[in-house]
Amino acid sequence: MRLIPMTSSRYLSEPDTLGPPQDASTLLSVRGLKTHFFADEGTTRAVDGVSFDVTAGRTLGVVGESGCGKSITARSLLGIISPPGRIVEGEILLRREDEWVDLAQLPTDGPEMRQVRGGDIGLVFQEPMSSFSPVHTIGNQIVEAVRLHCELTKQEAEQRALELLKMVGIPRPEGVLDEYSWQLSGGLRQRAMIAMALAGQPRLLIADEPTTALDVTTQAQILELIRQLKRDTNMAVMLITHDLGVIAEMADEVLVVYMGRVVERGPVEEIFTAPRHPYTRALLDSIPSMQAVARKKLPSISGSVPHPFNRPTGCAFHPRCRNAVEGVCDRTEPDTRLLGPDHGVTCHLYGDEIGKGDRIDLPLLNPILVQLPEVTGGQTDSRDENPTLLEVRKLTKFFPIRSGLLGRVRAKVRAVDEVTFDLRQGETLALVGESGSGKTTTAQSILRATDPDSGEILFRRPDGHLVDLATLSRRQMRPLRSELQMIFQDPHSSLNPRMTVLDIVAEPLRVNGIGTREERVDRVAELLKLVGLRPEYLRRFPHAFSGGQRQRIGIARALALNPRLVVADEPVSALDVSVQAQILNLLLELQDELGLTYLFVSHDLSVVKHISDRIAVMYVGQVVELGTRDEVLFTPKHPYTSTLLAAVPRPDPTARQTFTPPRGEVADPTNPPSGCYFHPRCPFAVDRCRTERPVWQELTPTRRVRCHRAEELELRGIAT
Amino acid sequence: MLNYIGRRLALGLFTIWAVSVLSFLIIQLPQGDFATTRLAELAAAGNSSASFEAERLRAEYGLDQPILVQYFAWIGQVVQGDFGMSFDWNRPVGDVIGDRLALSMVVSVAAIIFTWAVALPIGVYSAVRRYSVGDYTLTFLGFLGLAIPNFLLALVLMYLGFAVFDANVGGLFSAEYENAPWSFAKAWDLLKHLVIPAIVLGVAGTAQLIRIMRANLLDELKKPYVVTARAKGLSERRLVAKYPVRVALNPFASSIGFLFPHVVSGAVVVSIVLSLPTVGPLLLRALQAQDMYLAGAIVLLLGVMTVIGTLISDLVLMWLDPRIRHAR
Amino acid sequence: MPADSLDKAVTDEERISVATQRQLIWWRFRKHKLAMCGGIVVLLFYLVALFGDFLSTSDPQASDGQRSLMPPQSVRLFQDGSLSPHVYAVRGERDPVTLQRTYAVDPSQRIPVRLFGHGYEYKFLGLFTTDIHLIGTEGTPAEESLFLLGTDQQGRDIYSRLIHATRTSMLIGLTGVVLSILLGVALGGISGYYGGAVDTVIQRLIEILRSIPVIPLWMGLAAAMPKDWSVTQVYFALTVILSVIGWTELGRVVRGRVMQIRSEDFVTAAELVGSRPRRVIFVHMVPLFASHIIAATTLALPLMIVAETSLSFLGLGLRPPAISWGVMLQQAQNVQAVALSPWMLVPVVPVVVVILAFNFLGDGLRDAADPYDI
Repeated sequence: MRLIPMTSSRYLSEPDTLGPPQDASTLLSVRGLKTHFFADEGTTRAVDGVSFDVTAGRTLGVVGESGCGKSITARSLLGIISPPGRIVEGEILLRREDEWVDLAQLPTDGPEMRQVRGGDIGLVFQEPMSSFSPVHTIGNQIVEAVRLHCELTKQEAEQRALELLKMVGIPRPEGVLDEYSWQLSGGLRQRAMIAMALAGQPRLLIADEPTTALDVTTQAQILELIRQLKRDTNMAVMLITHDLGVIAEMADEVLVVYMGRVVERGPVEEIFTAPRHPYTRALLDSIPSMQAVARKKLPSISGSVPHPFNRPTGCAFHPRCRNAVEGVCDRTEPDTRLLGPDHGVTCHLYGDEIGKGDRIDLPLLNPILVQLPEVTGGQTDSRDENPTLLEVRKLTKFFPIRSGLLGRVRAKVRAVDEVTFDLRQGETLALVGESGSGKTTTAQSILRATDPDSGEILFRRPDGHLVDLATLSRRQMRPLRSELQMIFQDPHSSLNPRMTVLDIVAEPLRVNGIGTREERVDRVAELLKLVGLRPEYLRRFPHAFSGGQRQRIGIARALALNPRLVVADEPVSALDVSVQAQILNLLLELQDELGLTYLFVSHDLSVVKHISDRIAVMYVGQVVELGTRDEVLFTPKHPYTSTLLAAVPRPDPTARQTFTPPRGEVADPTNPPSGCYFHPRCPFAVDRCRTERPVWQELTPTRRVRCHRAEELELRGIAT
Repeated sequence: MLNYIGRRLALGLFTIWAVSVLSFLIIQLPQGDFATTRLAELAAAGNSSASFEAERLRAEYGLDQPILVQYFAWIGQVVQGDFGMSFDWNRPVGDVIGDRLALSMVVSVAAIIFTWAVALPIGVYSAVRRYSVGDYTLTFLGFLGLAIPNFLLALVLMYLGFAVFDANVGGLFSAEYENAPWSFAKAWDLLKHLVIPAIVLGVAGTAQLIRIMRANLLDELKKPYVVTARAKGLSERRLVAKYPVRVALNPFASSIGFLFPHVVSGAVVVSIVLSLPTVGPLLLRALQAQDMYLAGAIVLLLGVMTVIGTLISDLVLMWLDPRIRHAR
Repeated sequence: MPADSLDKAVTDEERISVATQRQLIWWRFRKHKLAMCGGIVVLLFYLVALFGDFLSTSDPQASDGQRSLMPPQSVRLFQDGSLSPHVYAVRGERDPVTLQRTYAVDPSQRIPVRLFGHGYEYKFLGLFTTDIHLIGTEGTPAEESLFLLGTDQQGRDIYSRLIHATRTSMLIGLTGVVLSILLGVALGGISGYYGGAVDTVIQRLIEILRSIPVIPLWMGLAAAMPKDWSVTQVYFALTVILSVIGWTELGRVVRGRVMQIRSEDFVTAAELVGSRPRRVIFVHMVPLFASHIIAATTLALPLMIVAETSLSFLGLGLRPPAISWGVMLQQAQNVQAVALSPWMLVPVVPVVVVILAFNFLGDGLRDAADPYDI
């Protein structure tokens, strides 16, 4: 068996075995790259021995959780690491005609390196808003990029910029040349960014989380664009993302990184169907897939990615690894073994010390996968008979946009526009939508965190009678607060940094005068145990906890008063995939244990599919479709739902998208289109859709849709 | 954009109105009105018809009217360019002020120009070469500049000029030009004399602007668009000059809005120390002599000039920043 | 149960985990060397203000035309090889031609100088009467013999006056800032918490106050104070004038901070569990911007001190017999006078030093105050 030199120690010990890559199509070869950051507090080994090859015309997907060194790797290739970071070791070989240039050896601000940037390698990254200078026009910045790499006159360069904008599918490119980035929508901005990255006709395009900040329908468009550009120009693409779905959709080869090292690399099909490294396996298991059984407990990775200063000894993954072998994994760093022609894995399981052979069927080694208990309360039928807990009727909230000296109302954001739905006791209703759909405002209005303009929010008290929350004053609302609680999205903003965990979780008890001080301490300890935190953490401050742990504290606080309705506003969207699974499991367990009712707000359909009983799909302030989970997901009745479902990337490389992404982007809620808000993007729109606003019609007792053609259309849901 | 201009204009007018009320307050605050002062003077001079004279003055100036009526009468005259009489000089206030107001503005503007010319390059240098010896030295000097009140700096410079160079560093003109009509030579003489006041007045603002520029530029240097520009293959020098410096220039330009009132303010005290022929010494003398119409007029005019200066800087900012230019 | 809770890395950092924000800020502040120095200097200045009489040698008001404008004296520490601090007596004469007083040392007449000597009587911290001073003379009273930094026009000891001026100037800064804080926190807080029309009005007010040149205004208002007011009245009126205009910066800081904290989820969370507005403001919000207010205050103090100094310097602020740095510098307005007796400029030194110290301290505090950046 041949060893692939992936760890630097091996690379250093056997320099002779390495020459330039033999494969003629290899464009870039990275060997043992190490980029470290030297700060006063200590050295952060952000990239710590990474090796990979990039091939022309193929897409290399780099996947890992936050802080794994993905972005730093990309920036190292271009020599744009800012101090105190620098490349300390390794080679970055770039093919130039017949010779190889080691980019790591080039002076970072020299003319050669500058020619590589933008000329050989183009870079696109996450923040399309701030990636352009706000005070220079798009045209100015693209023309500059063109002229840096091609000897063109100003007019020729402008012509070229125009072609580039056309190439990335920007409508009316002449106008966009004179515009500023903040005048464009997120999707157009990212397209312009790609146009700029292509200005020097690079042979490699590095896309660093290019769609993370975008809506899922826009993401589908941008991914399609990248795919198409790769096809047309035969350039190589290095796609960096935390989203395994995106990897499955896009990549040919995959690199899985953990704490600055490559733990596994291989062809995309092998990575997804037969992952070898326990980390890869666990990552794949912990994503709630659209195809998996709903409400089943997700296998999750324990703990979270440690801070780079506290890098574990031996294999960095061993404290979280279910397969770790004491005395081996925590002592020595594993070597990289080649398991197939292009499949390498860096794990002791395949090493000489504990490895029994070169192939181990990892799923069988993972006991959790076979013993997973199904969460019991998943039978939706029994909940149908439950009484309704909440009835929302024509809920409306417009935010005024004020301007001028006297603050006159210039326009209104139609955040929530006559939203109507019911919520039964013990069930989970998911509000799904893209940005600006009004899902969060709806949730906040129900809790009266914002005051709705009109509509009814009928909430059933324990004694059975209904109160309209919308009409209550803040003071009248207070006694009801214990029955309705909220879980927030941002685990950093939701906990007061000046309070201990005890104070934070005890706050609801305290302000409602429940218990003596001692009783409250006991209750908090009990709540912490319930959410899976050690009661010893009582005296700690929030800064001592990771994102997932903070989210648990927030959940404990929400549960302190034994609420009946819990509104969860994107509770897992700020978390890493592995931690996300932990929190979803916790929410499901708590629901079964405490009989909670959830209103679950999310933009992520796979999460929604996993946790919900019924789904309400929102678009520009309106609910466009409502039904049980299976109805909405498998037989959608609104074209928007169908579009949304098709746009979600699946973590299955064998079932790649074959659909055309929807046109345009989410409508502007201050100035929505006439008629049906979705008509400009709808493939099925007829004249009636352009003029007449569809009504909220009932198809079956469980099913409601806001579409003129709901009954005649046969729409595609997710494939089973 | 029109909205922005309108907003700024309205705010400027409002500020001028507020200043006019404060100036009027200053005129009114001292106990007794100037007729009483006059009465005392006349009585001291042995004039028997003193009290009759005082009554006549009160009626003429409407001093027996309610305060609001007096305010509107005063502001009405001010708008027509009549600031009343200076009792101390016994001449109309307008004549007394003469071209001193213009010289005040010349001194202030010179200080602002000095501030910008020095702060911009130093701020950029400090940010780009962060934590270098040069940065530390300049930062420390900046702190020092901030810590020395300008009138004390003026005092020390005056002393040094006198003790070491045996030269008077005060004044705006050499003796031969003081009363000469305006000419090229006189303007050149003025320019030479402007250096010291401009430095004295500009030091504190310079120190502040260096810190602002440095902090802004450091923020901007971390922005993704800088990485984008770097990734296109732009050289570091061109990149810094074209993008982050250009963006950081906006808050820098808007700094004139708060700098200008400070400089105008400081110019008053510094002028007194350096005995510049501006409105500063005039104001002090007027206040000491309770010559309130003169004092009120000076406070009002300085306020108006400041508002105009700020307004101009706002327009410059608008021209610089497309985000304001294109705002609906 | 997922074992997120078993995160071992965190247990090593138990000390940081249970550290309060105040401790974190202190740890971060401690690393800031310049700020620490600034803090120590500020502390020393306040100690001087507190023990002013003990540190002085002469009665700061004791004047004598015979001792007008004496140059600083040097203290000789040794006599014939043994430690015995003393000064020589000084004899003054009027030059018959220039009419200026000139002084000559008389080495034959030695006046011993000692620690904890006796001098004029004062009340120590307002508690008991004593005449012990840190430095005193034997034989002749210090007023007639000891002039560490020379004398002024009226023959008063500049060193002792400087010590007393420190008390006045440091205190006027403090009272002025307290008033500004009250105004700034109240108006800024209301502006940030309620927003809307109230915010618009207060914002416009701040903008207007900030665009007015303040010194002419101060001068006008200060000059309008009746001449017959007592020192205390003038003092109080002056602090009011300074703070009425000086609160705007603090108001702006507080407003921004309140708006930022108000949008944090934990404030919403507190409201959603039923906390009353008062509890939300005082328990959840105020502790978060307290550190920022302290930093802003530290940066506002030197501005107050400069304002007082410049007004008094122009003769429009404190008036004799009050002693402040500005009052002392008033005598230095005339360049010719300063050129002949440069020691009149001595008060410039404490002004610059204390402003520098406050700025370093405030900067360090501001950097250390951000609780999220750990």
